[in-house]
Parts: sequence; C-alpha cells; structure tokens
Amino acid sequence: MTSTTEAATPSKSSGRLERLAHFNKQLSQARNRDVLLQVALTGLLNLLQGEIVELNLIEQSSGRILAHRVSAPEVAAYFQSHPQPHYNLGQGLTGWLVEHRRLLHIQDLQEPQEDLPSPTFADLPFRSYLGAPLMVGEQVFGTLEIAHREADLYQPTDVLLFGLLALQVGVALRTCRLEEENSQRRRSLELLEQLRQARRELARAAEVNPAFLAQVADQLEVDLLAVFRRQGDPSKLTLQNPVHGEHAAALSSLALDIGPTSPLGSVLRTNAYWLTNNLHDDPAFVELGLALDPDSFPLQHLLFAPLGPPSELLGMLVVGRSREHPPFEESEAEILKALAAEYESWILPEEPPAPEGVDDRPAVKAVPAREPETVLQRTDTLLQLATQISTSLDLERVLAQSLAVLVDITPAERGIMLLYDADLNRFFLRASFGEGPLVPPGGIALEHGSGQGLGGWALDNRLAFVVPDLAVEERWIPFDDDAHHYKSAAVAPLIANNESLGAAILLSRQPEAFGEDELRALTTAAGQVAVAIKNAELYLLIREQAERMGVMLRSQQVESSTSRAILESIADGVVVTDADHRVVLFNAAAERILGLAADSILNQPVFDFIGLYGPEGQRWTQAIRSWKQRPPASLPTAEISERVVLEDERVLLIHPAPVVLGDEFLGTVSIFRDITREVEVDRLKSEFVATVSHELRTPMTSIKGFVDLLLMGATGDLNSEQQRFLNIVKNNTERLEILVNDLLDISRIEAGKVTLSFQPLDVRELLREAEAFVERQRSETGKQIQLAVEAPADLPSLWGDPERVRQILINLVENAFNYTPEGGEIILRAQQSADQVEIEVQDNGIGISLGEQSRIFERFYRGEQALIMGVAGTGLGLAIVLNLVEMHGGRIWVNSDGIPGRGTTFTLGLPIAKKPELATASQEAE
Amino acid sequence: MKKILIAEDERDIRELVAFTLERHGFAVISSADGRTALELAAKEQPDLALLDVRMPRMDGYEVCRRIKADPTLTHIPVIFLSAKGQEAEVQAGLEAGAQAYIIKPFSMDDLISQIQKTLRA
Repeated sequence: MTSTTEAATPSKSSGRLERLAHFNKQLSQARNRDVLLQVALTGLLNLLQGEIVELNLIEQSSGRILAHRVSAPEVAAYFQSHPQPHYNLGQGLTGWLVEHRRLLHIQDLQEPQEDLPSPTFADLPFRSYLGAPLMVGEQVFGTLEIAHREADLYQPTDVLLFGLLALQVGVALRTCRLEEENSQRRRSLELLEQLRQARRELARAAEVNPAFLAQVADQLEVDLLAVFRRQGDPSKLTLQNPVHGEHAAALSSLALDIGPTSPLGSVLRTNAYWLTNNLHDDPAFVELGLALDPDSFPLQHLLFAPLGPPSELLGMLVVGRSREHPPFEESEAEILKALAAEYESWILPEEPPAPEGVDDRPAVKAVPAREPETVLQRTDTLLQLATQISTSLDLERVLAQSLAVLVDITPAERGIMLLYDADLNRFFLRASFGEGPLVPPGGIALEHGSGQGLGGWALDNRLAFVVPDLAVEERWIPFDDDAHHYKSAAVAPLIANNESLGAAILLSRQPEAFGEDELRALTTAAGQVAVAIKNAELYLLIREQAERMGVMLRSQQVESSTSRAILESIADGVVVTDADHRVVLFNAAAERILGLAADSILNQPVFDFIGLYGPEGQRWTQAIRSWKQRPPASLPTAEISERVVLEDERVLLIHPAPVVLGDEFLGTVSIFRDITREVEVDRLKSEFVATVSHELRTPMTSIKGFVDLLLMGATGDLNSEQQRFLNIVKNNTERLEILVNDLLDISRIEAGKVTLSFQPLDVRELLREAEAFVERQRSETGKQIQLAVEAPADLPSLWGDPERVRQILINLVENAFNYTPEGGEIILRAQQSADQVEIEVQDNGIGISLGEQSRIFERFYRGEQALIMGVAGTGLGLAIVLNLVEMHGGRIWVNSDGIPGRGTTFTLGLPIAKKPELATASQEAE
Repeated sequence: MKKILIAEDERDIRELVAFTLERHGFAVISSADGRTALELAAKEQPDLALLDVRMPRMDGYEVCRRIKADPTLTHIPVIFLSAKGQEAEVQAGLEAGAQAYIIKPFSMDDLISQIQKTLRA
C-alpha cells in the first residue's frame, strides 16, 4: 500500500497543511461510503504517523460497533490473522469516547490509566493513542482512533490536527450517509410507483402474483418478503400466500397472537415498524412470541410493519435478510412503512375493517369505502408529494406543500403543522394552509407542550387518530381564534428515527369529516414530512459544521498562503526547512542573492548547499543540527548571525533561527541579507573620517606651530594678555587634535582595522604607569587629587595588547581626574576574579546619574555634569574603551549612585594570561 | 652650520618649519615637491632631510627610498613630517629608511629635539 509506505517515512510538519487540504478535498469527493472510509483511514495514517487507525461506526439499530481499520505494514501481520472484529458499544476506549463525547489523548497505553478502560487492541503493544468521537450535532455515531507502538509520539499540534480531522471525517460520513439514504428513498419511491402501476394492471386481482412479489423483494434486496394476515380469528395472524423467500416455510406454522394484551399486538399497534438485526439473540424479539429455529430460519435481520391502522390491525408485512447481507437501516423501515401502506390499500377492500372499540383510543368514524379510483388518485398525489419533499431540504416548503396536498385531497378546510421544541417544551405552529392567518417565519409559539392538545397526545402515544366532534373533545386546545370554527379533525404524529418532531392536523368545519382513508393519507404524508424535517435539520447541522470547518481550514490556508506570499516577496533571502532539514521554501530573493535556482534546492537537505560556503557555512550547519537534537525549551532565542564572504567578494549576513511551536521543533528559517553595499558604505565612511581627520591635521599643524612660535617669543616679547590669548588658542588646538585622534581611532576600530597584539601584561606595572599619568596631570594642572593604589603582589598577568590596555586605563584614570573636583581622591584597585583580573578606578567626584549610566558608552554622549563642569572632551573616550575591552574579551561596567561627591567606580575585567610558556608559544605563533 | 632640507607642499608649514629651524641656528633649503627635493638633496648635500609624505610629483616615501638607494646620499638622515598617522603609514615610512616619523600636528619643541637627537646619532 503506497499510503502506508509514506506513513512509514513521515515528515511531520512540512506540507502538512497542504496534505490536510488534499485530504479534505478527497473526503469531500468521496461519495461512496467505502471509498470515503478508505480515504479517511489511509489519510489519517499518513497525516498523523499512526500504525493503526480505527474508524468505528455505531449501528443505530443494534447499538453494535462496526470497526473499520487500516494498519501500517509493520503491524499488518497481526491484523491479517485477526479478521475485522465487531465490538459492543461501551467496551474499551471506544465506549469511553462514545460516552464522554470528547477527545482522548493517551501518551502511553502501557502505563496504567486511571479511570480509563483498556483499549480494544490491548493485546498489541501500542503506546501512543488518540481517539475522538464522530459527531453530528449532539449525536455520536462512531469513533476515530489512532495508535502507534512508540510512546509520547503525539504532540499538541498532532492532537489539534486529529480533532480537526475527526470533525471532517464525521461530517463527510454523515453527508455521505444522508445522500445514500436519499437515493435509497428515491429508489424506493420508484419501487412504490412500480407497485402502484402493477396494481392498476391487477386491479382487484384475487391474489398477488408471486413473480411480482419476487420483483419487489429484489428491489428491496431482501431474502424474505411475507405478509401475515388476520384470517378468521381476529387475535391471530397467520402467513398469507404467496410469500417470497426459501425460508418462508418456517413461518407457515406460526399463529401470532395480536390480542390487545399480547406483546406483538401492542408492538404493532404502537410502532410504525420494528426491526432487529440480530434476530436469534434478541431477547426482545423472542418475547414477541416469534422464537424461530436458527437452522430452519437462518435469517439475521428482520423488519416488520403493521398493516392497517392501530385500531384496525389487519396484519403485518415482514422482510428479512440473511446474515450475509447488510443489516436494515432506519431509512429502510420508512420504505417498508410506505410499502405496507400500499399493500394495505390493496388488501383493504377485500376485508372491510371490523369495528373493535376495545381500547381507549379515540373512536374512529366508520366511513364507507371509497371508490378505488379515488383512492388511487389520492395515492398518486401522495406519492408525488413524497417524491417532491423527500428531496427538498427547505423545511418551510416541505410543510407548506404537504399541507396543500392534504387539504386538497381531504375534506379539510385547514391543515396545520405543529413542531415540538423539546428544549422549551412547547409546540410551534410552523405552517398553516387553507383558512386562517398566515404563519410568520419561524412560526408562532403555542401555549401547550408535551402531552397537551391533540398534537401532544398524538406525539406521546405515537398514534394517528380522528376526532369526529371537536366540541366534545377534551384534548382539543384551539390554537388561534379561527380554530374555534372547526368541528372535526384528523391528527398524525411527526416521528422520525424515534424522535418526536411534532404533529400534522387536518381541520374541518363539518363534523365527522375524516375517515380511515383520510387518516391514512395524513399518516403517510406525516411520515414523509417527518423524514424531510429530519433531513432538513441534519443538512442544516452538517452545513453549519462543514462551514465552520471550511472557515477554519480557509483561515489556515489564507494564513499560510499569506505568510508564504510575504516570505516570497521579502527582499531578504529566506530559506525554510522542515524538521528533517529539508528545504521547503527558498524565496526569490534567496535565489537572487545566492545565485541558485529554487528548483535545485527545494526538497533537498539544506546542508547540501550550505556546504558551499566554507567555514562560516560549517558553523551554520552545526547550529542548525544542534537545534534538532536539543530539547526545544533550550533553543536559543538570541540572534545568531554569520558573515559569509562569497567568491565574488559579496558579503552575506546570515541569521539562522529555529521554528518551534509549543514544544515541537518544526524546522528552521534562515534569513540572508546581501550586505555588500552596507560593508562598502561602512568602508567609505571610515575612509571619509580618515581623510577628513588627515585634512584637519594639516591646518592644525600651522595653527599650533605658529602659536608655539609666538609663545616662544620668536617675534618679540609678548605682553601678558597676548600670552594668555595665545595659550587659549593653543589649548583649543590640542582639544581639536584629541578629537581628531579619537575619531580616527574609533572609525578604525569599528571598521575592524585595529588588530591587537596580545601578550602577558604585568598589572602592577600598568597601575604604576597610570599613577605616573595622574602625577603628570597633577603637575600640569595644579589640581590637588589624592591617588591610592591597592594591588596584591601575587596578581597574575593580563592577556592584552600593551598599548591598548594602557589606552583603556589612562582613559579611565583621566576621566576620574577630570570629573573629580579639587581635593578629591582616586583609588586604583586590582584583584583576581575567576579567570579575569578586575581593575577598579574609583573616584569621589561628581558621579554619573542613574539615567545616564546606560548611555555613557555611546559615541559622542557626554554626561550633563561633565558639561556643567566644563571639562573638555569628545564623548568618544568611553566608546573607544568599550570597543577595546570587548576586543580583549573583557568586560567593563560602571557603578555610581549619581550623587555628587559619592563618585563613580569603573570596573574593568580583562582575561588572565595563559601559563607563561603557553602564552609565549602562542605569542610566537601570532 | 648644519644644513637641513625641507620638502613640504604646504607653504605655511614650510615657512613655520624654516623659521623655527633658522631661529635654532640651522641653514634651511626647501622645496614644495618630492622631485625638486631629491634634486636639491643631490646638489646641496644637506645634513638632514625633513620630508612630507604626500607631495606632488613624488611622494615622501619614494624620495626617502631614492636617497637611501643613492650611495652619495644614503648617509643623509630622514625624518618624516606627516598628517598620515596610522600605524601602517608610520611603518611604511620607517621601512623606506627614515630615522623618525613625526605626526602632524607637532610641537616645535618636539621637532627641534628630534632633529638634534637624529643629528647626534
């Protein structure tokens, strides 16, 4: 089986939506139930990585569960030796699903499950399990179950998907069944039409032609077609010839008791039909006095319907099927009922009803037998009606048409349909034909409910009856003002599948207007109307469910195609892989940037083409591989990025990231950006800064030089004012010089042009240099600042570039000096901390406000206090420091409570040098 | 009196340096481009050459290299005076054979002390 082979190598996440849509399409296209079942079973096996899928359908008539299953090849051997089993409802997990009406997910069936029965396939080592009831509206008609021998297989997304699939399969099955029922109904109506014509030909024939009987049996696909009739003894039914079917002989000796107290009699009087699909083991059936020997009567399925109205039971029509044939469905019972009605009108003239009046049912007025032609015409009309309404799903039309026909063919002046709402326990006047006001859409709520009024009684007792005189009828509740005018009525319950739907009532201004014929016509029409109502309701439900599902699916598809469209049109290259690292999306920009055709990449392992990108590609590959192995919770949220230089010198920036839904790893998405231009712009910027700085130096040389000359007295003596002003020019020139140098420095650092030459550095030596620097500052400015150095003698060496580390340290010390007022103190402290040496530069100066602390390492940022103090500076110093510290693999942070006088502490952490010999070795290597 | 050659295309700087050197008792010959500087060096046999790096007609590196390559000039010590202050640039100057490399802007004191140091060596 191809489908199961696919299931054996599932790619769980990729294209799942596509496959879901495909599955849905297949489901909706399968009109035949067998095809549908096959599609559902193999589809599930594919979509959910199951080893066994079981679709259990409840047989409404028997309550048994019929299992359909497919299994993966790995477990097929077991099932080949075990034929399709039949289970009884309420057994195992299947029963649990039917009872609890909700989805069941078990991660490991081998673990004891509290409050759960064991699965029906408990003798196989299945572990992961998903089960869902198949429902339409409130009705559960089966279950869908899937299992696998591996435990903990199903993730939350699988459970969600499974729920959706169960819903889809449920709707599809129900729709399919409804269509089958409808076509069956159409077939049987054709059959009835044939019967009717045959009867015309055989009008008043003394007996039924066996060949014709065989033809009917053939149409109904039954092995037995027989009629029991009341002959002589009014409380006994005996087999009437001819019969169809080889096993009918077993029935010939039966004399069935249909007396008012007999079980069979009461069944026939209160039920439109009776069916059993397990004849010999059905205790209820045996109770009816119909115990039959399985050897001489090996039929399995039996369906019978009464002939004649309950008050005038004439006999019963029996059809049967052997166990090889499908069991009887409720819909077939409806056909049998119609057949019985037909048969009834056939035999009726031969034996006029004898009045009985033995029970409390409403008295039926004896009416003279109508002319056969009238009866025939009426039957014609009813058949046409049945044909029309059985295919109609428009409830209002069904009700209106039925009433129109009934009013037309009976003496009724008005016909109404009452529908019963069980939730509200109320009848609704849903349709009215003939006289009386129009009924608004949705009907009129009436005051009475179950057991009340004529309709309530008919529904409760499931009986049709005639009321000859409404004036003396206690159950009669006039439902509107016009209703008072009527003198007599005929009432029939609307019942389908044992569900009470309402009542059809015919009303006449004449007393005793309705007789047996009218009642039969009404009953027949009521049966059809009930089915039509049920169909319309069911269709409405199914349509709603299908629409809901359609909306769900559509929104998913829209979402998915929107995302796809966005990904396709995005300017960055996007490569999406599934959990197995297969490329599932390679957008147009990726094609352009990487110069690869999507066709050659799609569905291939992503590593195939990453391999083209050298060592950077290797790191990328490692990252992607590790994501699948690691539990999703630990997957990185931080960005990873790699810079890759292509052969044609273009530069790509690659951001790979895992895609995780819940705790399931779905795949990866990698974004490529061609940053060649950005890199080029960056280079140009650095070049520009370098050029500008260079160009600034030349005029500064002249300014500085000539000021020096003037100050030296090269042009003669200067007065003190001239001397002071020239010094101001000189100082500002020096500031400019620092700015230019800093600018050059940072642009080179950021452009990656600064390389460090690492070597072990003596921390105490560095501190001595810083001390000397402060000494010089002190003497140059005359500012009195105390300096203390605290460093243990056994400090390990640092690993750094001597010039740059000195630059860092001097920068920090210079800041401390500048931002500490006269009389302040600077403390230099060094200590080891783990694998770093930490150097603290602490002052008791102006401090840095908390709000500014996060910004002081930004380029050109200068603190408010620094500006107030008028300390010269470019705002580049700390930015350079931070860059250099990071290049050393170190850290730097600041502590200050922002209160002037409480000062600031910068802490610089730099890595400790490796052991001397190693350090030397690596230094030589560089 | 020691004779010093200045090659500098910036007139202001040329004047600044010449003025300073003369005040410190040096004889000064100057040129505004590299090629003229090389000719002057051959003709005047200065005791020291101060070269700018970026100059018309021939850059300072080239002038320095030619001085060092010419057996009649190779003894002349060379000091670069340049706004190009990057390590690679300084390195290039020293590799061309210069004794020192001073980055502009420089102080006159620094210049004089560097010259005196070089001449003593």
